[in-house]
Amino acid sequence: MLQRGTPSLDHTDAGGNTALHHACAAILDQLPPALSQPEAMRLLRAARKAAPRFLANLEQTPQRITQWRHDTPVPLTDAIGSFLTGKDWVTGGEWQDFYGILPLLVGSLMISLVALCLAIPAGVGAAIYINQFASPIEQAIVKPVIEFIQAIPSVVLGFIGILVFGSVLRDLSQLDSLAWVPGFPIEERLNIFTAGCLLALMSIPTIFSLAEDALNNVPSAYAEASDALGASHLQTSFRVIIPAAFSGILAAVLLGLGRVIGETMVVLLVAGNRIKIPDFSSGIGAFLQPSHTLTGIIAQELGEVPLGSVHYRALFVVGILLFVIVLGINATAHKFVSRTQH
Amino acid sequence: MVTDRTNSAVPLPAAIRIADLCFAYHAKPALTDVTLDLPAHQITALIGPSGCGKSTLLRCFNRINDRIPGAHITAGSIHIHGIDINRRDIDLQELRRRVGMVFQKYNPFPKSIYENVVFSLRLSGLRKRHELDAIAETALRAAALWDEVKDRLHSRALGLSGGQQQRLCIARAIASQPDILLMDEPCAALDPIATLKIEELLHQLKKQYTIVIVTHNMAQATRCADHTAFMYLGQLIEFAPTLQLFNTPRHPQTLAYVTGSFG
Amino acid sequence: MHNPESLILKGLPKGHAKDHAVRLLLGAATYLIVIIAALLFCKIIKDGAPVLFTTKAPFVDLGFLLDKNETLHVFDDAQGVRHQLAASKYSEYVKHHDGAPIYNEQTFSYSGGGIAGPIVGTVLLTVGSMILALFFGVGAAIYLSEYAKQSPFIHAVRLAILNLAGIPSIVFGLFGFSVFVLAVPVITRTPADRSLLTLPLWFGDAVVSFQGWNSSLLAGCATLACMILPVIITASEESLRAVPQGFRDAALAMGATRWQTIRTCVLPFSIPGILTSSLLAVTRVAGETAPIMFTAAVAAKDDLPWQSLANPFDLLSSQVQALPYHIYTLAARIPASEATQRAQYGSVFVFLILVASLSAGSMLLRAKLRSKLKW
Repeated sequence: MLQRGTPSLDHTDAGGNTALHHACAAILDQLPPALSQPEAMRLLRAARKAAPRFLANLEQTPQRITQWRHDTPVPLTDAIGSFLTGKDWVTGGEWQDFYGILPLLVGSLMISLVALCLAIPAGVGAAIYINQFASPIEQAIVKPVIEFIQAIPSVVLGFIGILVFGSVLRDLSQLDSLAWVPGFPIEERLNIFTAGCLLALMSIPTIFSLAEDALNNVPSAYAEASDALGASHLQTSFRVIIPAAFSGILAAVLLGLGRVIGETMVVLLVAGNRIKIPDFSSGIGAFLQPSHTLTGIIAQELGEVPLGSVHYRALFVVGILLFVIVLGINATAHKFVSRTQH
Repeated sequence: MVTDRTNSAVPLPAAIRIADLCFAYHAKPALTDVTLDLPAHQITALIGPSGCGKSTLLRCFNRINDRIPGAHITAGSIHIHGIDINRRDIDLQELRRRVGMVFQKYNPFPKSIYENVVFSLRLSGLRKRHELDAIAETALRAAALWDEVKDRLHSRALGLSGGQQQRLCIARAIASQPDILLMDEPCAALDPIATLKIEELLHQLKKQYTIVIVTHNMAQATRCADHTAFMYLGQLIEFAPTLQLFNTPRHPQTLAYVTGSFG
Repeated sequence: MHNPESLILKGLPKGHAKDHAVRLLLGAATYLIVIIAALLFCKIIKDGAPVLFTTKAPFVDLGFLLDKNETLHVFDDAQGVRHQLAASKYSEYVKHHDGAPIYNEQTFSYSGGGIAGPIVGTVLLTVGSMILALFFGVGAAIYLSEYAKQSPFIHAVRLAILNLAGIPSIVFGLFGFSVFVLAVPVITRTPADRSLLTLPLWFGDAVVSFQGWNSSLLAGCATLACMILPVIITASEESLRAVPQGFRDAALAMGATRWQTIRTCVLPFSIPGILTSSLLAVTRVAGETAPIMFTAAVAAKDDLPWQSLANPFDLLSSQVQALPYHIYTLAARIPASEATQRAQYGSVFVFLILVASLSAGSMLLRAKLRSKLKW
């Protein structure tokens, strides 16, 4: 019908549009306003939405098609860029696989955010209380208990999450008195928030022990000087000792973050395993949606992937990315720790 | 020859009155029957060999010994300006604000020089910047440190030299205008030049504060102190104007110590 | 001094209320953590203890611990009585009640029988990986602390060890999968197609084929050993360093060689410290799932590892069940229901007891050692 190169079709009119453009626009105008079948209606709407962009690119399209070669190597920057910023991770898809880690990265970061928001006040607060305000009996009892939590295997926490905690939280969210909370009532019981809560419990002992160590290592000369100047116990703790231990506490938080980002079993069981960037239109409610993580995707897909395929290699690259991220966090934390020890 | 620095024979008002004080760490006695009146606006030195209890006595005056578990007064009393500082309803924080202390190993906080000096002022709730600045400058001038740090008030205090850090600690202690200044071997960790600077400082400070200084260095006592108390094995052996103690000590043990027979 | 009366307190000290409020807040945070942990334990104990402990002697349901893991069949018989039977007992029942009708039948995989397989598998994995880790780890620690001279290379090695300690366990799983399962050399007559490299041996018709050990006990042990190696090396180095230099000097002054010195004067005194950290490492190894998911673990296995083997060495190359992986399977693939509660909570309870006793043991050992070893 319409052939490229036909002189009449390449002719450009006063408005800058070729006859080709006119011909296509005319056809698009002939599309019916509605169709009876819902699937057909969906396709119609998609076509209408894509039409302006199609028309705008029409002149270049034939040229681009002839110039495209299937065997042109994709530049490394493109490959890495689309890996790191791609919004879709679709494998086993109908016509093309996508390996973009953005949904996984966002999931990992959101879960870590929830976990740290809960774990930092609890862990650092407990460390300050135990180190500065608790009696020796309290210290002797509470410290081992909190350190004992560290021994709980992550799979047990994931188990509790999926069998108990998720349902409890969902039932709680269905109370009328809590309807004002954004995102309540929760639809999915396995979501970012649930996973974040469990990961907070996991990272609290790490943050607690290291923060308490940092507070312990502050030279007692500072406390003595502060007392001699007439400071109350509270003032000495908050104006002298805690600021002096600050880099140690920061290191504790960073190591807790490293632990949380690297955790696999809890997120695999409890985060919901939906590979999609959460919908932020509901604001904070985005945290009550399911999501997937960098660690979870490896655990979930490595068992089923054909060896040596692109998918297989993509999972290894995700592993390398995890390695680099956690390495960076831990190295920064160690630098903070060494800064306090001089 | 020790020069006499006391200017009259009139009895001076006592800033600190110690009566039959007995002090112990757990069951081990550290001070036995110490009776002493420390005169106001004078420098008194506590001298004696190691372990004689002079630091313990000093630390009783601002009750910093309370930090040590098991340390307690077994008998006697300490009155500062007529108030028994060991009564139950004493305001410990106010006491420590009125009785400042400088330690043997200088210990400025890991903050800026400015923040170190205004620390006790902030504790009292003083917040206005110009007031804090004024008091900081006064304190640093009184500690003979202003000229050296006025351009870098907000740099790290731990970046100063040893002598400067000790003078910063002195400035920090006097910023809230205490009445009494306790100094526990303030020059022990310093070189001779820094020591000299601090000793000159003490003569200036005496005009405003009562100073009690513990020292190992007898020459320092003779250079700085108006009165000297010699202690041995937890007991006060002799207390007299410095000139008298060193030139004509009454007690044979004092004579033995000041002539260097033991130390 | 103007107005010495200000030294006397009138009423409560200044800032008393604030002091109290802060103490309350921080104490609440601390005890909240303790309470949440206690709730967690209580839930598991409440639902898991009835599975393991019985009211009659010997007070422990040995069947749960010693039976193999099987599929659970839940059904009603003609009288409406509900039966929950493991697969072997189910087939017996069917044979026995030949022709009797069965209603509302449901099957739950992995939820019947006992957990002997997972327990045995975990024990094998732990023992194997600790043997490897201690051998290489203590050796490396001795080299690093006694023999090695400070050089950029040694500095890099120490840095690497320090950083490896924090790497996520799934990354170790990936590493173990790609190296131990797919790439390490194996001597065989029939190399696989995916082998990376085959080198002929000079005897027989066997070749050295770089095709990995497949998912097997050995691969799992190796992966877990790699994961725990940094912890063992760091802890061993610390224990070796804690031995006073004077001991070494005395031995060397009497003419002992370096190795004799280490063997007689240093190692014996550092073994308690190494043991304590090993116990902690065992806790970690027993509890990890991610490294063994693709290198050794299998969800369902009919026999215990040592049964149905062609020769004893096949034990190392067979897959095993593991308790943490069993729990993961039960949690992820089996829905929560009354019938599966026994398997789910019972497994978690046994696992928790195991980990808790190891952890408590290591804490007690550490406390005892701290008070004993004062040079």
